Order: sequence, then structure tokens, then C-alpha cells
Amino acid sequence: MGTLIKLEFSKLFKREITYIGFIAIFLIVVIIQIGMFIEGQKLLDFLVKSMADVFVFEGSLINTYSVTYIILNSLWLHIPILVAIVAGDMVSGEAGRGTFRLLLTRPLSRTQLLTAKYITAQAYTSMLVVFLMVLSLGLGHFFWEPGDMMVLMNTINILDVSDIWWRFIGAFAYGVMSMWVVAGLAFMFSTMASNSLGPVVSSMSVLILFTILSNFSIGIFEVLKPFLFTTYLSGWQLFFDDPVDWNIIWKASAILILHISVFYAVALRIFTKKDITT
Amino acid sequence: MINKYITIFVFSIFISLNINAQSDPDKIIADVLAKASMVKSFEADVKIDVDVDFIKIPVKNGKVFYKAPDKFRFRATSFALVPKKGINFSVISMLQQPHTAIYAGSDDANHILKIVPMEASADFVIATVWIDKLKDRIQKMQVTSNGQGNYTMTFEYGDLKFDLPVITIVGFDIQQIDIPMKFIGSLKVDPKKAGERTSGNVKLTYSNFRINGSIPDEVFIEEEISSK
Repeated sequence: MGTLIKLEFSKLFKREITYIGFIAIFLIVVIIQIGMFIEGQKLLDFLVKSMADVFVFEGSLINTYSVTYIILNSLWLHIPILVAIVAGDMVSGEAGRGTFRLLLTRPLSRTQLLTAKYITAQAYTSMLVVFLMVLSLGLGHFFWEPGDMMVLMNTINILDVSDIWWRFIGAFAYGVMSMWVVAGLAFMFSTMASNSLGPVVSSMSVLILFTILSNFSIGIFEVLKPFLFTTYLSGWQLFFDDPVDWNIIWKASAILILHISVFYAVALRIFTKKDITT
Repeated sequence: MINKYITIFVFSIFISLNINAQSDPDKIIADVLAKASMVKSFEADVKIDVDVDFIKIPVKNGKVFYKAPDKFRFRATSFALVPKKGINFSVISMLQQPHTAIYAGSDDANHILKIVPMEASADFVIATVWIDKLKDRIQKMQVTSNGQGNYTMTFEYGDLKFDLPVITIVGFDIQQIDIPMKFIGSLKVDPKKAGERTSGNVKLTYSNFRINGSIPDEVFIEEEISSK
């Protein structure tokens, strides 16, 4: 299985499409960092103008951590697109290129092949999120000192600099898990198609539809919300609440893991039963 | 008999003069300022505990520096919300402005004075000050500011050689933030309360005073701290 995964990785990184996600994240993070460096203080002044009547701000809230949080908030809806592009191509790409039959002539089961592809897709997803974390926090150090962080989470939470790192690690770990769901969905669609565009568009359609439903606070949508995985995608923000509501995080994590498992099981079922003609 | 009336007359005049002296607001303020002027400089550690229902911030530590007549500087190791009003000598400077003082009564321990500033540019409209009858120091102050709401300061003193408060509690009105900005988070403010004023307070606890020592002027120079 290890060799198979290595093989899938080498195939993955030989394709240009794989680098689109990294390049897009790099550009967006750099642009936001520069923008915040130039205009960040004005933004903060606007945000806290009513507090400025009463308080003098000693120190600055525009720093590495606050900007990283803003980047995450801005990017979190867009990373699924980057994830879906690659995960949606994992199986359908082989079908589209006509290499499946050749691949399956080797002495390995369909389950092994699909699992190796699935692990590769999820590893790529993890790498993308870790890249975002390292880039946001690392690049931020060139512009700002680390410092206390302001988060709007039910109330205005100003988190002490010594109380931030574990929150970011928790948030990114949760972020990886939530992106695994998106990757799992795109991968599942990928087993149904013979070209890459279909799975990517399908998974994005599902994502957009569910996100809209998750954000409606009326009638029947309220009933649907707990069953939609999109309701839990932004759960990484919970790590910046004070105090952290671990019950919600555990519950959300369990639901996300359930989705990951179901998507994999469905993909496996489809792929093992599939009549491969290319 | 005549001697008895003379004695009563003289005694009543004495009592009357004494009462007038005690209730002379300008003298009371002059006594407070005279005691305050004994502090030429000081530095102290301070803990800042902010209690506002829509702000959560841990207790912050910092250092305050004061040098007569009007140099004041707060320094914190990390971000801190420092109340604009009520930090120590801002109160004294209010009493030093041209004003009209009115004796408004007393309670068991304090004189109660009303202070009305004479200059139109003053940043407060009227202040009520509670001044300790025995120790000539400010115990409490209620201020109606010029456009920034009302605030109250309560001072607790320790056993320092000089009358510097060891605890100051500043109560104020603050406007609820009503701009939920998606990219920086989600602030779930009750829409009915958004924009309304709510009350809050900040407790400043001072310790490790160093009074009338030498403090270099560089300490009071503002630094650029927003970025590298």
C-alpha cells in the first residue's frame, strides 16, 4: 500500500493542476498581508471606534495572529474549490486519460487502488491547509510582531498572545478535517464520472447549495441544518471562543468524520461495482 | 449674666466660622491639590481588569509613570485597553482647571462638591467630587463629560506615605458595537441593543509604587508600535 501511495503522489505532483491550489493560496495570502499592512490599522480603528471613546489602545491588535485569522475567515469558503479540483480528478482523471484498465492489470485490488488514491487526495488536502497555516503565520512574522488577537465571536474576545498557539493548531486540525469532507465528496463524485469537470462542478454545486441552506435561519432550513456538513465547516472558529465549547467541537468533529467515512464507503462501493471500460 | 451672653456669642461666632471654613469648597480643593502636589513623580505596576459585557479580555499587566506637572505614560507588555478617564492625575488636572466649586453637602466621611469648569473648551460639563473630610483626598468622582457620556471613579487608598490610590474603579457608558464584519468573525449582538449604550467598568490595581524617584523624560515619549 505504501508503494501504491508513493506512486499516486508522484503522479499527483507531476500534474500542473496540483500546484494551482498552492499558487492561489500563496498569492491570496501575500495580497491580504500587504493590504492589511497598509490599511489594517484604519480597518481596526473603524471596527472599534465606539470603544475608542472610552479606551486608549495600548499596543496594536493588527499583528500576525489577527491577520492570519482574517485570512482564514476570508479564504475558508474558497479552499474547498481548490481541494475539489484535485480530489475530483483523482479517479475520473484516470478514466478520462484511459489508463484505468492498464492500471488494474497489475496485481492489486480495486479497494487497494481506490484507498491509495483516497489517502493521496486527503494528504494533498492536508498539505494545502498546512501550507495555508505556515504561510499565513510565517509570512505574518515579516510584517508584524506576534501579539494579542481580537476575534469577534459572540463577544469581542481579545486573546492573550500566550493563549493563541494551541487555538491555531486546533483550528487548523479541525480545518483539515472539514476539508477532508469536501475532498471526500469530490472524490466520491470522481468515482461516478469519466471526466474531471463533472465531479468538480458537482461537488461545488452541493457545497454552494448546502452553504446557502446552512445560512438560512428560517422554517424548514433550521430543521435541515444539523444534517448538512456545511453547517460544521466553519467550526474551526470555535477554537477562538472563550471559553471553548468542546461539546460542540466534539459533536461537529464526529459528524464530519461520519461524512468522511460515508463518502469513502460510497466511493468504494461505486468503484468496486463499476464496469471499467477505459 | 452679661458675661454668660458674651461667652455664648463668641462661641457661636467661632462655631460659625469653623463651619464656614469646613464648607469652603475652594479651600477644600486647595487642600487636596496641596497634598497631591507633594507627589512629584511616581511609577507603579498596574493590573487592568476590564468588565464590559461585550468585551472579553484577560487581566492585563502594565506599568504607569507620572511626572509633575502633566506627564503620564502607560506601558504594557501586550495589548491593553486603558480607560481614557480616571487614571490618577487626570482627576487632579480637572481640579486645577479654572472652575466654580459649590459645596453640595456632606455624608458621614466626605465633603460633596460640585465642580463646574469655567472654560468652554473643558472636556467635562459638571463633576461631583466626594472628598475625605479628615484626609483631604478624593474618594469618588462622578463626571458628566462633554459628549462622551458619564463616568464615575472610585478610589481606594492603601497605607502609602502619599495619597495615591491603590485601586481605582472607573465606571462608564459605552456604545454596543453594531458592525458584524464577516471576515473578522461573527459578533452576535442583539440587534435591539446594537448601537445602544451599556455600562461597564475597569478596575485598576496599583502596586510596587516608587514615589518621587527620578524618571527619565524618554519614558514619556510615544513609540511606534503598530508594525515592524
